[in-house]
Amino acid sequence: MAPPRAVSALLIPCPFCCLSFRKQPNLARHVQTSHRNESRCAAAAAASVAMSQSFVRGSLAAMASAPGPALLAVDAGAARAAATDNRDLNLDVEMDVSISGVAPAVDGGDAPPNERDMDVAAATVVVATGHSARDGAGSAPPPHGTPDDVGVLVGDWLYASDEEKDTDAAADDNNATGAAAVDLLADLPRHVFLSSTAARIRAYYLVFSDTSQSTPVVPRRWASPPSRFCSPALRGALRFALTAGGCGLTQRDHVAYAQSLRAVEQEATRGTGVVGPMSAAFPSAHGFLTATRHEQNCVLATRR
Amino acid sequence: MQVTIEIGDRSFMYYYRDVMQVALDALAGAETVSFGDVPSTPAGVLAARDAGDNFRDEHERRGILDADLYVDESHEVQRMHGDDAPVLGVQLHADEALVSWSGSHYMFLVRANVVNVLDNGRQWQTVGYLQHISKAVEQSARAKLDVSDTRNELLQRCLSVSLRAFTRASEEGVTAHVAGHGSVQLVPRMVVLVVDQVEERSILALMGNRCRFFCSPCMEDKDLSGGLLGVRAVDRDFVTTLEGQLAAAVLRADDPRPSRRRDLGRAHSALPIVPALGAIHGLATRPYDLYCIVSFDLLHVWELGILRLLAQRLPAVLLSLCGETGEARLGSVQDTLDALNLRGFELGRNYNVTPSAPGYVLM
Repeated sequence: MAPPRAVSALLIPCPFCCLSFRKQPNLARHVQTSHRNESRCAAAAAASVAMSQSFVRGSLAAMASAPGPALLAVDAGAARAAATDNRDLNLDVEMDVSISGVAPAVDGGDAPPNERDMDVAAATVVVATGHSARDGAGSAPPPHGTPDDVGVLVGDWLYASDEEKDTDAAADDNNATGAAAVDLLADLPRHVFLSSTAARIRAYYLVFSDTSQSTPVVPRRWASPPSRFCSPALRGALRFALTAGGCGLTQRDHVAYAQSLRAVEQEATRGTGVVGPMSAAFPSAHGFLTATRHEQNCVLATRR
Repeated sequence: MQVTIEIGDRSFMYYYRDVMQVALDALAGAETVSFGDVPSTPAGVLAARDAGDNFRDEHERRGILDADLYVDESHEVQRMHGDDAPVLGVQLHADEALVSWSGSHYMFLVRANVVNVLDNGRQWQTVGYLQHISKAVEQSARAKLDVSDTRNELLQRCLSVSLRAFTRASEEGVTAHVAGHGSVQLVPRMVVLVVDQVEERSILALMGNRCRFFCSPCMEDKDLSGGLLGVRAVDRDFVTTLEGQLAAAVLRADDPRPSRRRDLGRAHSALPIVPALGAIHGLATRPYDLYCIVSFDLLHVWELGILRLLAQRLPAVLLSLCGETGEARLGSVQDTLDALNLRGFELGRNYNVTPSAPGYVLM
């Protein structure tokens, strides 16, 4: 096991004067009292930048022999370990991560104090998804299609073009963030520029995956039964029942309406032995109400 | 379709139809479809390019198909997708409505209208039923903020669900069957948003009260509003606003404290919510119409009395414009005033709150 690491003493300079502070709340309090007219986001950004430049002290040999986080894919684990443990040693990896970038949210705000020793890759995910990654960098990436995975898209590590995206992905297979991004980009059209605001907003809402959880209001089986309103007279009765008064008849009025129609038919066909279309289609007044509901379900099942 | 949207520890049911599907169904089943004066021949395209965006002086606008928004979108779509790609224009209307005669149940409805379908004077179709979120029971600032955030987030997430296919198609285009035109490559665009100011600010994720910039399209200071200096207000920078909202929304998920959103409100009068409309091409991309598509819901504006006050000045304005002849473009001044009065009478008959769907929304 690697020995416990200690974060070096860090001074956070105030962006508006020459003072420096050891803790972020002190800086925030100072800006609030001494620089009332200045942007607190700028101070928070300065603190965030200062914290991101803090380094980790420890034995190099121990760090080199420290195992990568569990539950990660081999390439992803290697890349993430490189981004964390060897961050102060491997400049190339650091450059890759910094290209992936920290979203403006960090620049505009300030990271919580308990995230100060969080590795950069995890911090990127925190900023990108907006969800806390306090479960650590060692947790496995969620399966594709879950709300968490698409959240990586929201970060500011955006490719300027498809060519750049493909080049980066091909050149650096060990970059876990890039590999995940390539997978996620498969959902988007090929010529989407992820740097555009529209694409980022779209990616932001893809995180929630609400659409994939949608279900039909009415089961599909309702679309198959044939309609019982198969004549123009019955269609007219259905139209009246569903549109009278703007929002249709109540259930009680449905029954009363059907009873009236059946009574009219019986009066008209009295003594002839002929059964009218209304009485033939709906043996009872409640049958008309039930058929109306079925017709509504049929339409809802057909229309998506 | 129905989906359960979870926000925090609360769940809300959203019933919806996909706006893109609604538009394609309307186009497939329509009797009369028009895409405006989009030229179909190369010579017509060249002539249209030479003419530019400006209409002739004698051009009389007939509807939304020759409005500036639609024409600009058409030019931009033709530039990107080819000369034979017409614009599928969709209007969106959002408002709260009663759903019970007792007046105790409200629901937020989202309606859509395809401007290219000319049947029956265009028909609005309801594409979404949002659950109403009641006021906070606890009278504290935190509880009110929670309810406000939940309302705004629910609205945007519901819109994003309804507009998901539409958003994607607005970028790529979609080939579909159009009645009378056969198979056509369509590029959908949102051309009008018919809302009241409350819904306008909510849909655009801007602050509705206690803010500095009450105007959505421009940055007119409330202290200068209505004054001469207010005319010099610059247009709202949509990229900066949307970027700020996007960053603040990400930050809000971890830390919903009001202090974290104060700067965004101070600088842009915006909420830490991402407007779902910003993902649609043509709104947050060229020709950047996100803050220009908002249109009045005249059924409500008339009720407020604003237009009524304006209408009282109309006779003098018309008489001074028409001069001694008294001839307006569509007839005499008196005929025009009669038409206005008739329209006002028709609107006045729709004042009463009713749970039935409105027959029309006048544009």
